[in-house]
Amino acid sequence: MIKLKNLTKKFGSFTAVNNINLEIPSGQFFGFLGPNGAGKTTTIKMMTGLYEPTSGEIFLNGSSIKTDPIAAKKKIGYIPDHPFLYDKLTGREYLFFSGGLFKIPKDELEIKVEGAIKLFELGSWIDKRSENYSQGMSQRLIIASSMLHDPKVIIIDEPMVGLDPRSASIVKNVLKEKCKTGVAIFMSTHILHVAEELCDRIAIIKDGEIISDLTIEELLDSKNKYDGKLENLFLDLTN
Amino acid sequence: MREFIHILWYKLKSNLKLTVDLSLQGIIKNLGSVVLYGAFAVGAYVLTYNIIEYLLKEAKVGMFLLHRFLSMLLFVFFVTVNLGNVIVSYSTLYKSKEILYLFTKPVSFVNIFMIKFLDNFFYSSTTLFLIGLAVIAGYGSYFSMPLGFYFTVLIFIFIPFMLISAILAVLLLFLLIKIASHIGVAPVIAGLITGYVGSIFFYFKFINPYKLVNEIMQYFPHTDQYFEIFVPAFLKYLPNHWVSEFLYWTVKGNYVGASFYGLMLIATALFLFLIMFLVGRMYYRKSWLVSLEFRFFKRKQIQNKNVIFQKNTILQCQTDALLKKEFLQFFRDPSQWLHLVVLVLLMLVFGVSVSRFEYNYEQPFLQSVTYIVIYLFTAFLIASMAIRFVYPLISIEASSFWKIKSSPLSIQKFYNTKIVFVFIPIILLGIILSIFSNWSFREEQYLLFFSTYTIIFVAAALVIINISGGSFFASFNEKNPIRIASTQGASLIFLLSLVFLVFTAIIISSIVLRYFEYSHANKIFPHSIIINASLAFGGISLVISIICYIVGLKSLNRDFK
Repeated sequence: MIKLKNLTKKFGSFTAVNNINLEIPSGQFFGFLGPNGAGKTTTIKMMTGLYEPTSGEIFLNGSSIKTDPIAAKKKIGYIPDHPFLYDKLTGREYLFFSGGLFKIPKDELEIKVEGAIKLFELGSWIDKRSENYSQGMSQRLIIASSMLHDPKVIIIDEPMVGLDPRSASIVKNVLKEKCKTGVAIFMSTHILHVAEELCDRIAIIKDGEIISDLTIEELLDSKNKYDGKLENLFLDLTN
Repeated sequence: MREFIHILWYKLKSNLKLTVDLSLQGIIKNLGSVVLYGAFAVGAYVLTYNIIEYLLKEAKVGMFLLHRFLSMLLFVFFVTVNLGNVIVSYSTLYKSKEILYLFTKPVSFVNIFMIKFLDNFFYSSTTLFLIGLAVIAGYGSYFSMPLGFYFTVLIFIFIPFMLISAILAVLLLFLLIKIASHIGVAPVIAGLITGYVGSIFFYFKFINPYKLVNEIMQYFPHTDQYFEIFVPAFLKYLPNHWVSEFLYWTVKGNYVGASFYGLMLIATALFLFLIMFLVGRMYYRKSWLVSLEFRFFKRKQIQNKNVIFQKNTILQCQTDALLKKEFLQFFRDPSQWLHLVVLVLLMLVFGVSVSRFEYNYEQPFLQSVTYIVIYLFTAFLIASMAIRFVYPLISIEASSFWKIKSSPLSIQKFYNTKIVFVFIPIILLGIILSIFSNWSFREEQYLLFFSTYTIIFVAAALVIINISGGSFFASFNEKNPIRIASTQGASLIFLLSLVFLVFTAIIISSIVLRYFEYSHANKIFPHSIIINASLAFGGISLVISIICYIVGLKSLNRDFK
């Protein structure tokens, strides 16, 4: 479960995120939309411990990212928009490295790595250095590495960037399956149809404030007023 | 601890992996690296050996004075390592993408800090270690020291010495970030520059090498002993003094006396390491968050600036656009302009200091040696400038290369614009330094002409060597110019630049020695010698520059295919 309580982030006199309150229960796929510079990435960076909130609190499956960051991070699977890879490591080495950071026992990790290789169809690429990977292959590896420790919370920033249809389909299926097992997913994206296809609930942020927070059913009702197009609804709300 | 070892193990695995390139070019590159590194190490060894031999046998300065000189050199080395570490640490500890990655994982901040510190220390010190090793070998070999001496000096003296400098740099960086969060970045940068320049100025003011030499030479060689009265009290607290004292007493066979200084170095390094660990645990994460705010404010301010691209110039459209882009890219990156300001200020301090230097020696040989050393140091400063600012120019394009590649722009024009951007400032700097270092000889017009003329060619050749080297060893994965300037390719090009400087020293020393011999004999120096040497020097530099230019351009064309 994810809980953001009165979350605010200021940079000097500029308020990037203003008093956000959100509660995402286990098993919910939450979509976080908003125009560029609305505060999506700042929110995600606070949730993953990269920024410290000016005020407010963040709880990830009960652990506060501020007071108990290690415990909170153990429960997160984070997939950033511009991921970092040690390019001289092979995919397999990278998976073992990531698993080690989450202190997964070696024998258990070996099984999980093999499972991830199959699930994300990393195939023969897994033993090549990641410097040779395409963007899609790197993204698959990153997502695979973030699932090894069976996170209770998945935070994704633009998951479909650079993915070909095959990779996109694999990622979407994995995320849906994870959600079914009770994982809370927080996804920031600009791709409206992906949000519509995957999410149970969608919130829109603008100028640091949540201006809309609807379940997918409510959203479908609302979009009917806009010629059935989510894009029109989004543009109207964020205009 | 397991977490720390786990990350360190995979980082080592990643860093030690060599890309096996069996192409002809790859083999030549790797062989060239081995030969050049080897040649440089041998050169440093021979140079150290000969300098010690000259100082002890020809100049007869004695062991005490030799080690005072060594202490002064070590102080400059210490400050250089320290300053380099402040700048590189900021980039490694605060700007690296790896930090962003590790911060989102359940890893303790202090482990991340310690790993990045070690990463920084070893990454930025590889070449210095190589130089250090060669110098230790030259020193030990001259005094016929046993094998254990080299091992002891390397492990228990040299590494703690470097470590103290690097740790102090990180602690200073923490302090600077803390102060900057209260008073802003600009006053902190100004304070830092003043601090470094001031420390070097006051060190040499209190040491007063000129007075020290005169005082010691009153006694020596009749009294060859340890002149404790000539060692200022403050010096006893400095690590550079401990190293020189260790070497002095070891060579003298007083191992108890030497071990005291060795223990001081090790204890200080360990103590500072512990302090750094504690401060890092308490403050690293906080300081990282503070540094994020600096970046944010910087971006907000830049948004309000005028668009210089809108302004018309006499330049051709593409050249105009490329030069303006280079200018903005450079002056909007604090790690670039800040480093430039520090280096230029240090150069000015050097320039002003040498302009007051008196060359009233009775021996033309000693006068020539002093002149050549100052000339070479001037050229060395230009080489340092070139490796830091010229070498990364191609690699720095990195992810924005697509724009150049997809534009109707000839690669040669792109390459030439890069050269033009750095060419004029570096040559100007060379001329200014040359005028400063020849100030005592301002009446000797031929010498001033020859020195300035050759330094222009040296600066030009160094720019071309570095831009072509940067193109040949382009590393498009690294965006940080400081780290690009510390890669293996950069070290290799720096060593190549030093080889070029040795070549210039050979030509110049032959002219300068004859000049001073004529001057001491009150004879008129034949102009034809200067003219012929100038033509030869210009011709050879030009050939080297053209060859390097072509190699660089070909490499760039290859990358663009």
